[in-house]
Amino acid sequence: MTNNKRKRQLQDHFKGVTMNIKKSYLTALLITSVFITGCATQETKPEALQDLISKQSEMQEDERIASNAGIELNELRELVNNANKAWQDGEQEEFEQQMYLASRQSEIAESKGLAAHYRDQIEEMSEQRQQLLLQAKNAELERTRSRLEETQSELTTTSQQLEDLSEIAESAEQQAIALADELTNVKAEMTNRGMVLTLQDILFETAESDLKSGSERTIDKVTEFLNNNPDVVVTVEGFTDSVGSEAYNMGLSKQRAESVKSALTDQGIDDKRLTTKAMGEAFPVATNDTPAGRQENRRVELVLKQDKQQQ
Amino acid sequence: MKFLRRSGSLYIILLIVFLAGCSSAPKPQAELVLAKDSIERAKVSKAYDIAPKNINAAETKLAQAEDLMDQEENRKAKILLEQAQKDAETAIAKVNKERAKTSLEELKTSMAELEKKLQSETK
Repeated sequence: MTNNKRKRQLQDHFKGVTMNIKKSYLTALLITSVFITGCATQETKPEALQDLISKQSEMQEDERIASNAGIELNELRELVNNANKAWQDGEQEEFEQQMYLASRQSEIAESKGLAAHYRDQIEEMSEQRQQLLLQAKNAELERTRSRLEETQSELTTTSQQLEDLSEIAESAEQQAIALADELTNVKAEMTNRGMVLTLQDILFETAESDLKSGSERTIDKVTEFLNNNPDVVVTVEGFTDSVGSEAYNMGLSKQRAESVKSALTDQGIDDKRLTTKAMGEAFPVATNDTPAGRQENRRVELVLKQDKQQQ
Repeated sequence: MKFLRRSGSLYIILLIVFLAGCSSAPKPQAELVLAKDSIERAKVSKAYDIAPKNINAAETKLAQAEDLMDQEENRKAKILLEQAQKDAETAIAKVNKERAKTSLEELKTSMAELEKKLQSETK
């Protein structure tokens, strides 16, 4: 009991002391805070802290950072507040620590924000790239298709031409072959130029362009053929052997072609259906070293074609 | 009971006296773990190439802090560990930013090439 009594007395005593302490502490605190506030308004903040605060608000304004690094910015705000408070409280070491952490945090927030911004751009650009590649692929496809169309139309033209060619042959082929069968000095041949009737050397002597006597039968047969096939036009091509100069042979081949043409017009063939062409000695069909070969090379070829205008 | 209570408060007083006298603060174990973890992650992300200053600072401070903890200078150690962790996190953030930037630049280059190629093809 004595113990308890003493204890209570002691407690009361202490209570009084604590009250006193509390009262004086409060007064001191009030004075200090007034002093600090006074100080704070007069004394400017340290430059580093000011810089950090302005950097913080800059980042807050920067959409790239504000929208991508919200958490980091919040932490920065907290650290800056801590630094500010430590400075106001005059806690130098704490101030320096919070300043250091806040500086790093500002770098973290900035990096985080920019990284996210770059990644957004990457995503956007990747989509564009994908789009571009797709377009390129489509363009390539389009080119291929138009090439295909071109080839197809070329093919159509070619097959049309081939049809034209065979049309001549269909209407005239049998007669031309029959003509060649009948006459030993006439050959009928289907070539890529069309149907060709070769009138051989027998018509001419060497260096002569006049028709030999005895070639009337050939001319008659050809006339008959042309009369039977009025829509066939003829290119009369003259050829020579290699005796004589090239220029001379060129002229001679022209004269021979002309001779055949005039023989045919004499028979009443419209000369509009007949064109002549000098081929000279350049296209031998046999050797020029033997008389027989040279004889074969001296010739006139009739290239038969369908008259396009009459089609 | 009375004895126990008295000796209990005595023990607490003794403990407080002991702690106040012997060590100013407890060992900053949590800060140590956090700093080590951040530094490890920075190393993995190859921070030495992009943010060598930050990662080196973090490692130096970690080593210093460990020494200080051995000497029971725990308050100073804690300060350094907090800094080390932030340094390492800064390094990581910079690495991530630089990586994204490089990727973006590469993509821009390849886009320009692609556009050029497509233009020349359509001509």
